[in-house]
Amino acid sequence: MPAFAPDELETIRSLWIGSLPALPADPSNRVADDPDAAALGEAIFFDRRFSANGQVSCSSCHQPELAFTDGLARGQGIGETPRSTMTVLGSAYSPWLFWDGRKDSLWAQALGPLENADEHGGSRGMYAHRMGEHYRAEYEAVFGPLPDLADEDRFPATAGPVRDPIASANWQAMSPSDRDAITTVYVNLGKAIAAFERGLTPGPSRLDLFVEALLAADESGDAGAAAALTADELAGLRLFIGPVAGCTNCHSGPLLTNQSFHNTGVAPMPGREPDLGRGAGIGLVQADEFNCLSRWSDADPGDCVALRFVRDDAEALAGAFKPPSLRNVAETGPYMHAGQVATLIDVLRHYRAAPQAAAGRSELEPLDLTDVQLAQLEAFLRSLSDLPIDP
Amino acid sequence: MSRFGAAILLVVIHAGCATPAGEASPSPAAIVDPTPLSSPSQIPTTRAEATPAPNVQAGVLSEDGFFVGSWVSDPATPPINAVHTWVLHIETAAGEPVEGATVRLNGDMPAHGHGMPTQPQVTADLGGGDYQVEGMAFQMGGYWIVDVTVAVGDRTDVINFGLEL
Repeated sequence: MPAFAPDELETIRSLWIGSLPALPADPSNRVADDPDAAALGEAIFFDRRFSANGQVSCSSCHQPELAFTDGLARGQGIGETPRSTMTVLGSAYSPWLFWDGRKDSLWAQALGPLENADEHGGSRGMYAHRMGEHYRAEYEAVFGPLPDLADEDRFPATAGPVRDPIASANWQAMSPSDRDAITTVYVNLGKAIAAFERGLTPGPSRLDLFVEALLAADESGDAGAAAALTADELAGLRLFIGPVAGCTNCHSGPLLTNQSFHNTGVAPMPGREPDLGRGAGIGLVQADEFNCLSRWSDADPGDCVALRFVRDDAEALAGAFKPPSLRNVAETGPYMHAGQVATLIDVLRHYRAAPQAAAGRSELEPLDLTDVQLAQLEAFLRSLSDLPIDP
Repeated sequence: MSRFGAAILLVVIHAGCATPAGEASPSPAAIVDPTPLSSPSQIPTTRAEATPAPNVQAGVLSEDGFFVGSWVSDPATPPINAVHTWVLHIETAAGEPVEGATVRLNGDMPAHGHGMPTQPQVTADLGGGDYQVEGMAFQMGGYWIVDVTVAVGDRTDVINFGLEL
């Protein structure tokens, strides 16, 4: 196996799962690291009763066996969503959640689909009742007493600032302090789910076995490295870290994403307006009811560095999206923000062709890569899947 | 302001415009030779250029020659993909600390056509020409230009720092 140059070794090491730092603290969530909150969050994550029709749970779209995605172009809850389901694995490391970064914490993200009419279709008043019906003891052990939900005049079965006219009217009719009591339960629900999700991180892949063998740098290390990646996968790795393809410009670090926003000229769905992505997401996160600076956050304003210094140039960020982690990418298709690109080889052809963007300006330049090289890159990408855990 | 536009502006300013009475300002000859300085050790070591040399961290002259800037980062080497803090030090070309200025900062990667993932802001005027800038972040390695706009009194100028991360 030909040697790597020192700078190539440094890059390869930076992609290694062993380079993943400790889970960052989430000062906005006071129960982020509470195991009881995580247990409650895990139960709710898989509980279909937390939806308007009793059929949608977080796991409906975030399926563990598909790396917490759903194998669809766009998410399907009560209805179809306009964007593709993203993985939850490693999401604790993302300062911004969703393709457009419109949420700045895991708990704020979890609250989005719950009140979205196309996803869970519920309202926070409804979820407070569900909590009381199914998880009262677990909730109260972590968060203290629930409000007295038995009074249906004060706390109707459905109520929230949502699209459904009945729930919306009920919400308007509630007193401000009762609304706060319900929102408190809702926020706690999100924080419990987030505590569970923080523990969802990708596992080692064959790339990581390869890097560990490489770092061993001895006789047995060489044989281990050769066994971990095939010749095509190794060729793909060299291309991935190399200057021609430029993949690590955005797909860098142990999660193979730099967590910021880039325009790669992905075409909108036919017949649809171009998606502005981060261009619109900036305003959404700044205005979000549950952002780091909101009264529902447990953070001091000084902790909210990402939000306080958010780049708010909507024009420059028009059509820009967050690069997902490439770990388990073989399992997370179809690809791009609305699942427009069906297969990995289609993705690679897109990067080679570098088409113009429909919104904003693409950062891509056409790439001088042969079909064989694209196939090698695909082989490398497939080596990023979690290894099966021995039973 | 584009690098090319700034170069044109530099030429126009020094093409014989009058100097306001009572104000010390660089003479037209300053386009090549800086104004004589009180202390030889403070002579700027780098001129303003369209593509500032990477990793020259001190003694960088502004585009119109009014200011000299330097920066330090915390951590000392700017990390990739982590929000961090800089302290800028700004002096006049004559070597006097510039206090009470309005300072704005931006970063760009000319080769990639995009800027920083954050909007850095001056969060403290530390006095003595020092300005704390929070929210610095570079999302990838490569060549960056960090441009610092300094406005004090009726004078505004831009210092460009090159970085190879």
